[in-house]
Amino acid sequence: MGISLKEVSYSYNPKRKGTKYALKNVSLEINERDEMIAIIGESGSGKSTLVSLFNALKIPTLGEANVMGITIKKIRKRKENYNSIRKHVGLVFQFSDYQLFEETVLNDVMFAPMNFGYKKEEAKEIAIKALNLVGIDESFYEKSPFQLSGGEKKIVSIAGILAMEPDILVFDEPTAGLDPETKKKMIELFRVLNRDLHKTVVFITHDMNIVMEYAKRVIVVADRTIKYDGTKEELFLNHLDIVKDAHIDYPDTFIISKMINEKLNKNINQLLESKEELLEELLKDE
Amino acid sequence: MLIEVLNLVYKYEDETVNALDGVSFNIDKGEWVSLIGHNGSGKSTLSKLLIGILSAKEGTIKIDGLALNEENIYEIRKKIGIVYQNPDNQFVATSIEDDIAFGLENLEVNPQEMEKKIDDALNLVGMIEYKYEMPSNLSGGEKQRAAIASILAMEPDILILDESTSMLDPKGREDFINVVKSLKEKGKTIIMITHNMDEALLSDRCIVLYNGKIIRDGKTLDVLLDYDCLAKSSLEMPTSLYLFHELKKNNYKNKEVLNLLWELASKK
Repeated sequence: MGISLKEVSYSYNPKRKGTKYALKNVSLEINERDEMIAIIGESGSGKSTLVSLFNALKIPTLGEANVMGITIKKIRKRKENYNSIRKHVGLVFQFSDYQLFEETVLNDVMFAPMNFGYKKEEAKEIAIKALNLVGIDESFYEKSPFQLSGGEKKIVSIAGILAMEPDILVFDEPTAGLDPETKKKMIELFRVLNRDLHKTVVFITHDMNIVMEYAKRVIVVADRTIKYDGTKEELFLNHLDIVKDAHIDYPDTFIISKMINEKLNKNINQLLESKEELLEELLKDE
Repeated sequence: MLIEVLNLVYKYEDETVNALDGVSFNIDKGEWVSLIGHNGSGKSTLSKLLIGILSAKEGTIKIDGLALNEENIYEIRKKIGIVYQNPDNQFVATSIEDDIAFGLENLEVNPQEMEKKIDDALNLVGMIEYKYEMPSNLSGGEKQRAAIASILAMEPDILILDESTSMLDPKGREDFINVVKSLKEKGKTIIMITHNMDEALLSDRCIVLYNGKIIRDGKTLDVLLDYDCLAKSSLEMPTSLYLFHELKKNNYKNKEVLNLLWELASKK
């Protein structure tokens, strides 16, 4: 179960002669529980195309995808099967806040469960549960989504996805353009979803400090394929070439501890997950 | 003084409190100033007032000695350019060349001079080879550099960057920041609205807005080391300064490490 891609390639116009692939020969396995995966790489490297294969939003041009036990191949017709995939794998787009359309916040979040056949009262219950989870209180329920700030809209759109009660949640650049406070809330939400509710959380990001602090597994996408799939420790410590070629930053804690080690001949752990840990380590070292 | 702002007050129609509430500051020619603060602190309202998209309820703005009013607005807009957050929202034409020409036509630049102005602006941001490209074919970082070229061609003295890098990847951000650095060296005045404290670190001076008021205005390193001020504004210290600040607080004695962190924070 979960998500499995086998030698998948994707082209936006496969019938054109000499077509270019947006994604080439990609294989991976993602569990439906307990994973916390960061997908990193330059703009235009193929990250967004990759994640849209995770819930059958895109169908592989070559190769095979299997999501929650359902095989997604070119020949199969788009039918109800894929709807059930989308119930299990929720995809939050980068500009998800543009997708709010109902008159009130509550109705917007109720839309998905209603669509999946729940009765109004049940849908309301599910929606309220989702809104509680993301920290949107009752005073917002009757507001129009268009009255909200950019950050609030984004949070509400996430509640809309959570109301589908998916096992796997995929976020495309969830923190881009957010202010620091909303960003922090967002990341804490990921932690709750993953650690407390055992969901699999996959997020695309350019922020290596977030990767270092929160991700358990890192996938590097460059040149339209997967260049690395493993731990962040292994990546930052032993794969300088991949980090360089993919134009990835190093986390602050890594850069600072490395500099201290090199210039002052010390032996500070370069793979500490947060600045608080690095502070502790420096104080101990004194 | 290039920019003189005195007692500026602005209130949005549906709101009960002032979005800007008695804001005053001056900016010298050639300064690089960061405008920081929590969401809704008034940063973007201030930038809109500076270029005359909104007009103040009270207070005055003077740009290069000219009072910002209906009479002077077009003269003043020649002096100020703004680059926004979303690169896709700032193009009007189908090629980069035409997009830059659009702004110049509005300024009634004569066609003989136009070609040179376009090339100069594109050279300045390292985008000359994209002159005939469609904006939609560019990456995010390239789009933002093209957007800045469109502004630069009009030769403004002042550039306002309203979260211009927040949607860019690390490479795009670096390229963009390098352009800003070179503009600073050429004597342009830069006002940068940002949530990214590493970026704020590059400026000479930081102004902190809180609920429509300036609560701090000073040298960048002083402001970014002011823990209480940043915490109040829900802003984080850059990592190097955070470590420096916390180590000092804990009576940490290793001067070499402290110096190294300070060096890292103050290196531009």
